Amino acid sequence: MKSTLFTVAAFTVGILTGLSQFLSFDLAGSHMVEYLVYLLIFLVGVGVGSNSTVWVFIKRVHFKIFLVPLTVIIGTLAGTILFSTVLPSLSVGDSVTVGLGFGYYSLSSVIITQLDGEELGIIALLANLMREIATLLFAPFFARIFGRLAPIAAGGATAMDTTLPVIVKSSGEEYTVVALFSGMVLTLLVPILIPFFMRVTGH
Amino acid sequence: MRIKMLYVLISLSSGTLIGFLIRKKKASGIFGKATSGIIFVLLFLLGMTVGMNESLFKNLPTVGLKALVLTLGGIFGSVSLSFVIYRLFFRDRNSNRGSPV
Repeated sequence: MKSTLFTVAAFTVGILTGLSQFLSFDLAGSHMVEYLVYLLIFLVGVGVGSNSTVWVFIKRVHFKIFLVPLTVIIGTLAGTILFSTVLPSLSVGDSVTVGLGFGYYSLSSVIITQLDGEELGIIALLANLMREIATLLFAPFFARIFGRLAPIAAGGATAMDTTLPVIVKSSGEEYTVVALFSGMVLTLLVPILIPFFMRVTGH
Repeated sequence: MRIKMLYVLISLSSGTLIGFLIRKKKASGIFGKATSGIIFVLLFLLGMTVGMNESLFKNLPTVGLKALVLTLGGIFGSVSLSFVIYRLFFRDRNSNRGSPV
């Protein structure tokens, strides 16, 4: 929750600075931001690679653990495509691009801003931030109604860090490794799937 | 188009490998702090972009509504499918204890 507030604060202070016309900056055209994104992706890799808990458990884990991130990917895309039909001003492709953030709002929004533009980048930021916040708030409810995988599914990529504590509380400690694994796979896929999907669909 | 796929793959795989190699070192905490720092800078710049762009700022409520619909879709889809997968593969009818995997 603390890190979520921290990033919301960064975004808000940024909006105020922009409104004040005190500084000017072209995010979509910036080379510096491009390099920062690579550095962030590198650090995301370090975070995943240095998570020793999951590497220890992964050796004796059943193959069905792979079903969990797959469930999140297919479920998210199906739901996003379904719900995007009530948004005529947003194409299905754009909606899927946002969905592929899997809750990882910082990385997905910056990549999408660089590849598509500011508006879709902001939609990605807000949509994925709301996904994280909704998981933090409703994980126990999801677990009670939809079973113990549901908080992990809702958390998406954030299941490995920011939403892990509430997931463990709602799904039970025996689901810790499942949550870590699913979150790690999805985290690694965010910076791969978004540019890949946008290239394939010709953005 | 900025952000090249090749550089993404190189950054991600080299990061994961280095992270794995240093996983037992105390130094890995520094990387977490650096990550937070970069996220702060990038989100600050993203916020600035919104503040500078008058039409985008005015449209923020509409943009937020679109985002909310996509969030609900993503959560609804993944949580519903997880319900099916949980029933089929994970739920243990005999007990609520023990490792699920």
